[in-house]
Amino acid sequence: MDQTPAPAAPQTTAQPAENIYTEICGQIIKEQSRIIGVTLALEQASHVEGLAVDSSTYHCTISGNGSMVINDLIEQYRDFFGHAAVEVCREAASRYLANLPAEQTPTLLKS
Amino acid sequence: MNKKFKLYFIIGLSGIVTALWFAIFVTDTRGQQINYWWQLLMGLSALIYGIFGIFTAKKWNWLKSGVGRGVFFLSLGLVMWGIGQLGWTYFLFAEPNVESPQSHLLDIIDFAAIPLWFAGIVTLSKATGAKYGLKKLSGKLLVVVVSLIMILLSWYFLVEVARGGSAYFEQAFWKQFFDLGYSIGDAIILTTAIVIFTLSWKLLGGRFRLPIITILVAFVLLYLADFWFSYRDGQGLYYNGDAVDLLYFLMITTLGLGITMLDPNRVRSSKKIAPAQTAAAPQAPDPQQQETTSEPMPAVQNPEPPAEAASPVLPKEAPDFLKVNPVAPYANPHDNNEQQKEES
Repeated sequence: MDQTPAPAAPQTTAQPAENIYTEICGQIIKEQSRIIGVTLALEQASHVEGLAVDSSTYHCTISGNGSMVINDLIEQYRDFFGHAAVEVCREAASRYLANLPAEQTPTLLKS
Repeated sequence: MNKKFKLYFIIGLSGIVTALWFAIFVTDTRGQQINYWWQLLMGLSALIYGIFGIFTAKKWNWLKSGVGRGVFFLSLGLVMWGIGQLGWTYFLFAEPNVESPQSHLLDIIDFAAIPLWFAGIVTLSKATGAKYGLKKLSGKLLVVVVSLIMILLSWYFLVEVARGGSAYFEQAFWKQFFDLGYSIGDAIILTTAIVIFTLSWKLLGGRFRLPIITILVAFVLLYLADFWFSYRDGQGLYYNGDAVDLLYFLMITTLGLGITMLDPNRVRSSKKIAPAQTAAAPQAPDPQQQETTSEPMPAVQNPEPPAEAASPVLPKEAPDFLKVNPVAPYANPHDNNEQQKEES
């Protein structure tokens, strides 16, 4: 029986951006865990509203504005360890930023 | 062992030992049992403060994080220094007429602190953001200039002033090695610490700026103490309980305080907290939840239950680290065996 494949859902700028935000969050938390340890990195992330993190895989689930969640996450780490933590976050997110338009890039990730 | 206890213990014990030193100094007591007991207290203090630091590394997941490794190596260095000092003190009591034991074992133990402290400083630099300072040309120039200045100053003070110049090198190799080794090692550590701190000056912040500064000050004191000891010992002026020893003790205290201040727990009383929100089902925090709730932080797609008594769940509004016994409810994705061991 032939099945005509369903047409692909139209790609919106929101869907790929949300996926990128969750990837960025996961990578930031992973890199922070290398510096400050898994326990503290996840504990800091737990304070961010709209962000849930799988502790074993670092898979993130974002509800709400992804850009704001990432900013909040970076600020959380900055409050904890200073601006050095912001640089760590920027380095962690650098490879994903090319896929984000400038207006959707979290402000704290802009150099 | 909470942070508050460690800090008060260090301050209290150091206050007592310092007061005893002043009593020895004011009365100009030399070559007496009290001088040896003071040396013992100094070694014991270093050992205890180092052990405190090793427990602090646990809060940073031991060697699994950059800060944890830094804290661990710095603390282990302090432990080795303390053991070496206690070893020397043993000979003071057992063989008071022998100027120095024939075996170099104590020298090796003492000297082991140098590479450990160096490793601690370097690994801690990864958390301070020093490498980002190196990206600029000014940062690179700073490294070169500071290193050159420190090399020249150290050679002048440690060889020319403290050791009488190049004639010093006519002595036996091992004596040269250990005498100069401490001083050169101190110079390398201090140079590295200054460079790292200068590179990270604008990047370092948060609650850990003061502890890092304190650790830097400790290495300045170590450098000065070793130089001053080399000078006074070379001049035949040194005695047990000398002013140089006070400088060593201040170094131990400062390093102990700096490492302990790197404990991520806050020194404050616990407050009533509410559970955190979850992203899957956002809801307002339950105001009836107590701070000691054993509810673990809900995690998506995490079938593993918490292995031990879970830490209290923190709301985003509450200050960080209110609990004094943080038990990680999270599995370490880098080491699946660790969680299985905890559950068994």
